[in-house]
Amino acid sequence: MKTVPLALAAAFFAASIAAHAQGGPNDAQIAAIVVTANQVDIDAGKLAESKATHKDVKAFGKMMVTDHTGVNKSAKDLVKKLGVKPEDNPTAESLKKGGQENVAHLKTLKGDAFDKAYIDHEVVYHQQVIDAMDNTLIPSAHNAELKALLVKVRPAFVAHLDHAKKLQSEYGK
Amino acid sequence: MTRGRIAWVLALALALGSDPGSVAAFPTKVGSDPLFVPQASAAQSSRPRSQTHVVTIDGFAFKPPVVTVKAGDTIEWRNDDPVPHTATSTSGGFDSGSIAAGATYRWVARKPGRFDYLCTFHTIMKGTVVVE
Ligand SMILES: [Cu+2]
Repeated sequence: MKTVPLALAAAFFAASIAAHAQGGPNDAQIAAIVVTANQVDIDAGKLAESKATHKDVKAFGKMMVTDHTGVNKSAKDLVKKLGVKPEDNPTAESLKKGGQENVAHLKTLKGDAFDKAYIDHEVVYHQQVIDAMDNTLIPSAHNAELKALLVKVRPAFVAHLDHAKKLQSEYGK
Repeated sequence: MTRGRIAWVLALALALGSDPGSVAAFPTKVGSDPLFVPQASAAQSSRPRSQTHVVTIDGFAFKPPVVTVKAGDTIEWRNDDPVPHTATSTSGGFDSGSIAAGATYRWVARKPGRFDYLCTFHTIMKGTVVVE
């Protein structure tokens, strides 16, 4: 029963990858971008959870870990269900590199400077992910379930951006 | 007993003969579920004593954002998102605490009033329960 839809999904993705070879990211690449984007913010959140000074900032870091772990689980579950193997690509690579640099930079900071730098980056990061979703990921997503997942989790990034901006107005000065 | 019940079911089936859907469904239900008849008559007379209203938490929003209920009704929040949320009244009444992904929270609305609520994790998520 299960092998037929999986085989169809595999064939479907093979076709969609070929179709998008010259254009935007294919679904396997989008999967890698989504998983990387979440992981990057989980890593930064873990650091903030332990290093932030203000309790609101600490709590925000903890929420980023919780929410992005949840979003990532739903993304990974879908990818598994569809039989897609996330495919590395320049967008995912640059997200990963940016995340590593951010964490490395944050580790050199203490006190209010840490909180400010963390929150400033969270604002920029969430805005970038929303822009990427709107301009590239959602329009490029070929599989209907993958597209639906992106649409469903987009509000998470909007809520986080709004929250980060509020914290920025309090602690970012 | 058995003969009397069969005769009664047949009589009902004949009485409802004008509605083809009822003929098929009605006798079966009477035979297997003795509570069917009282339920049917209650539905005809008035609204059931208390109802459950479902609010779905989906895409970081309470859907529908406003629910109007009668005192004694239950509101059930179902978290369809992959992340935890809360349904927390800002004017007392209810506070779900963390509702995990896929979990539900139920609150019985005892007293009339207007309850504005939000998700304490994501405060842009807002809703209202009006208890009449
Ligand atoms: Cu929430």
